[in-house]
Amino acid sequence: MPSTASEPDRVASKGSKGPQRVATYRFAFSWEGPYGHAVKLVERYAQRGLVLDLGCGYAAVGEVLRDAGWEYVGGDRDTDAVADVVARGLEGHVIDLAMSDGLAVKLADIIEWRAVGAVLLLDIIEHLPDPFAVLRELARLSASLAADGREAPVLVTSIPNVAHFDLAAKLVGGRWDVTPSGLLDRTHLVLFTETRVDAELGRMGWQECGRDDVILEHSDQWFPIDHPFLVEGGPVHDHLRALRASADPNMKVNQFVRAYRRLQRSVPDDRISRLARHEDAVGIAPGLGVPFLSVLTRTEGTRPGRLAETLTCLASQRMEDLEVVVLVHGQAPGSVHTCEEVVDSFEESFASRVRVEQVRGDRRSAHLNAGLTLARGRYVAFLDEDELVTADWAQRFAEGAAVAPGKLIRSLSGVRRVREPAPDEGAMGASPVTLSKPVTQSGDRFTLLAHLAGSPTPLSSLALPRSLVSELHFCFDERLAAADDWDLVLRAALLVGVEETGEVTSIEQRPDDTAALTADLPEALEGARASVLAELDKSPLLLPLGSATALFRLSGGQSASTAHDSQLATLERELEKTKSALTRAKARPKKGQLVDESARVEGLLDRIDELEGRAKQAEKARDELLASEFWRATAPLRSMVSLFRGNPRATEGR
Amino acid sequence: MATALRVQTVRYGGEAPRLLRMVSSVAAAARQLQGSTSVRELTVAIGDCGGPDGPDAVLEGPVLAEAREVLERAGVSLDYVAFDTNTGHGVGQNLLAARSPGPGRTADDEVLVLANPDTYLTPKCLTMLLGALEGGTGIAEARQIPLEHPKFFDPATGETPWASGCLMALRLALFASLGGFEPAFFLHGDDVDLSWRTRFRGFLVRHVPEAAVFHDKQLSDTGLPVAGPEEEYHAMLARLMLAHRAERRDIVGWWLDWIDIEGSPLQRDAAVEYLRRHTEGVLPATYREALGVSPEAVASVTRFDEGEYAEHRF
Repeated sequence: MPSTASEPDRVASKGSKGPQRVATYRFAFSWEGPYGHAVKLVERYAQRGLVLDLGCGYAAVGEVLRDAGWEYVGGDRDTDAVADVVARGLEGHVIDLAMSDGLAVKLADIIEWRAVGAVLLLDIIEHLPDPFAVLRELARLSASLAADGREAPVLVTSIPNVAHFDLAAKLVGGRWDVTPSGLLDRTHLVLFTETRVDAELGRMGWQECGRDDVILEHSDQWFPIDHPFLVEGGPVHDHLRALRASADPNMKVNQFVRAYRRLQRSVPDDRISRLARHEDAVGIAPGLGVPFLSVLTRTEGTRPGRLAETLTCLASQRMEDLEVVVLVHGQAPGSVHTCEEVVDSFEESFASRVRVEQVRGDRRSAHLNAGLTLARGRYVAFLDEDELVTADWAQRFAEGAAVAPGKLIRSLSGVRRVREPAPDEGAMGASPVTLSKPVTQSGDRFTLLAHLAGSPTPLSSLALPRSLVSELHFCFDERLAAADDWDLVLRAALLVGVEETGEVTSIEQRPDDTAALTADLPEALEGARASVLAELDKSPLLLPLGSATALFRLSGGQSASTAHDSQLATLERELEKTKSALTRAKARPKKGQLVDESARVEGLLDRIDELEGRAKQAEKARDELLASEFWRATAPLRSMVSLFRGNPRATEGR
Repeated sequence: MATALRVQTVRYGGEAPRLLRMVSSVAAAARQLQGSTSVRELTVAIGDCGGPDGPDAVLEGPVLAEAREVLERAGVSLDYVAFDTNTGHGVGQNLLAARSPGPGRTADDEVLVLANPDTYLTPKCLTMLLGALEGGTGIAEARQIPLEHPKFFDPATGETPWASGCLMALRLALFASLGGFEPAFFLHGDDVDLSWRTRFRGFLVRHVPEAAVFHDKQLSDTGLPVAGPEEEYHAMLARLMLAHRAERRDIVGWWLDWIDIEGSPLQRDAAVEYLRRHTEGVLPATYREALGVSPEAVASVTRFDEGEYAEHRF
């Protein structure tokens, strides 16, 4: 039993006899605690009549309900507690919920002809060896009351949340502090998170109709207060807290206080699907028919030929364990139908794996977010209508995910320039005119700091683990007018890291007149990036391995990189000097032309030999430096530093 | 008006699923064709150069059964021929084409579509290719995706110096009258040679951008397709033989010099093979000798650009 706003007056009673002898708590009533919240739910959702409080202990809510006009009936296996209830003028019965067989019949006998407004299970089911049997018996009771033509009661529960942040943060540090009472009461036999509450009550046909959870910023598990993971304002605490906040809204929930009604008909499909998701999430039943990859393809639905080409690339994938969701964002009449016709023109084995969905919104991020909710695969990839991929595109993602499951998978991409055909280019039809071969766009290796400095990774070369979406509600930031892809990659890389395939597998076809069309892009881009950075600044960042050295260099610290820079510059200067001396020496009169100056000519030739030797030596030293592992490994960092320093060469290079 | 269409492919090993995907794409493209053209009879012909076992084995029964089922659902018949030997591409296509026309048809009734087994046709591909085979067009060539071939074509007319054997369409009558592919080309260059001989006859070779076909190529980080060892060898040998047929000794010399300095071991092997054939007099005849065309015609049709057999756009 959790201690919350209502502190126990006394934690003792003889309790009942039996194999599991559990002390009965005597908690005071408080409107701020779970009892007060439960009473409010009764008032809000129950029909007038009897309130059956099972596992009532000393009936903390008894008088409150009675005074509010409810007919209170308490039930507990602790005879002393029941005697106390009765002595206070309340109806009480000895009921052992641990012996659930025949519970529905026993309760029906107690109820007799009376109308039942609510059944309460307040901080009790976590103490039962088989709480689900009790829920099933209550479902039977509800069904039998309904069968008699009586109103089915509302079930009101209070269940402690073992995923409260305090408890969860300490568990990361390996602590599991069982206490005499509270969230980790030593007598708790079954532990609950919201997912489990939903799943188990849903399985018995109980559908939530209201909630009034008890929120506690600091639970009884907030100790020791100087535990490193509980230090407010500390990076670890704040980072864990930010992560948890994105996962679900329950990190401050101490008790789930909720009201349920029994579904008299069969469980609806969406409920079943929620249950299936839960089972999948907890590994009970791996999702049947879940593909490895969901591909989100945006289209306006007005260029069927281009869509057909992109779909052809997907139909040609060697790794066939994928589904395609065509996201039609154009609002032109018939655009969805056009896309469906394109899909239907493909062979059945592929077309059956493609869905066409209309999505709303002006921005790419809105379309893709809609797609993320529709995706079913373990990973999600993005391929717009104007993009093409090689046959190993999906396969490389799968290989990367096999090596590093859960990481962001990154391949390389090329960009080629295209233009729309001119009116006199009749042979082209609606096809674009290709102007260049694909040029690799993204760097060979991904580094977080280089990405932060603006190095792009196109969406078509990425596969996002859908666990980020299902576990942390990850999505594109629809507030951004630009750089939404940059933001997504950055946030994903910060959370799960990046696994690289090193293969060029996608081709973006970029209109040749991009510069003219997007003259205002840099400004929008800079504004968006500033917004992204401001958002990231709100939480601590978890940087990948190797970041300390990289940050040290970035902040201007002396390092091996600086020494190499200096060494290279010296070698380059030496080489230039030697080459120029060599040129001058060679320009002088040659042997045979000035016979009487032979001695001087011999000297010059020796000088040329010497200079050539030095030039070769300097070249060799420079080449060795440039080929060194260190030099290659630090290339992205150097370009980033150059960028920050405003080096014009680096800017041109982008 | 053609009433029959025969899609031919020659395979040597490779993954069965890939061939099944290709066959499925032909089935889908055939459905589009049947509703919009005069073609009523469609066949997919697979020539199998595979051996008895190993990775280069012939197609297994279940794979063939699946291919046949997919095609039959689209009203397309399957003509599967195991050659029992590795004939190479051109000879394999010739052997398959020799099984046509079917009973009751003439070569004029039938269009051949010659396809690589590592392709996947867009649904409208066959319709577009067939539509382009009108007027003076001898060969219609599909546009390759995701890597487009860089050779020149005229965006106004589609006219192009040669058609890639990745996917091309031509009338059976023309193919037969040309004698099919030149057997001296084993894996590469036979398409260029066939295109040039088509153009010597006065026909156009036309690139059809709207007939897109996926060609399974891997992309290197330079933006060029990655060439396998067979391609490296046979492409070089084909370059030398094409230059020989066009009597461009300067091109032959240029390539031999290049190979001497920069060539890979496989390209050196190709040069040695070329020189052996030259020495033994077993190179294919020059175009002037074989076709009786004028030097001017040869110069006009067989254009080389930086050693390649056509000007490139990029």
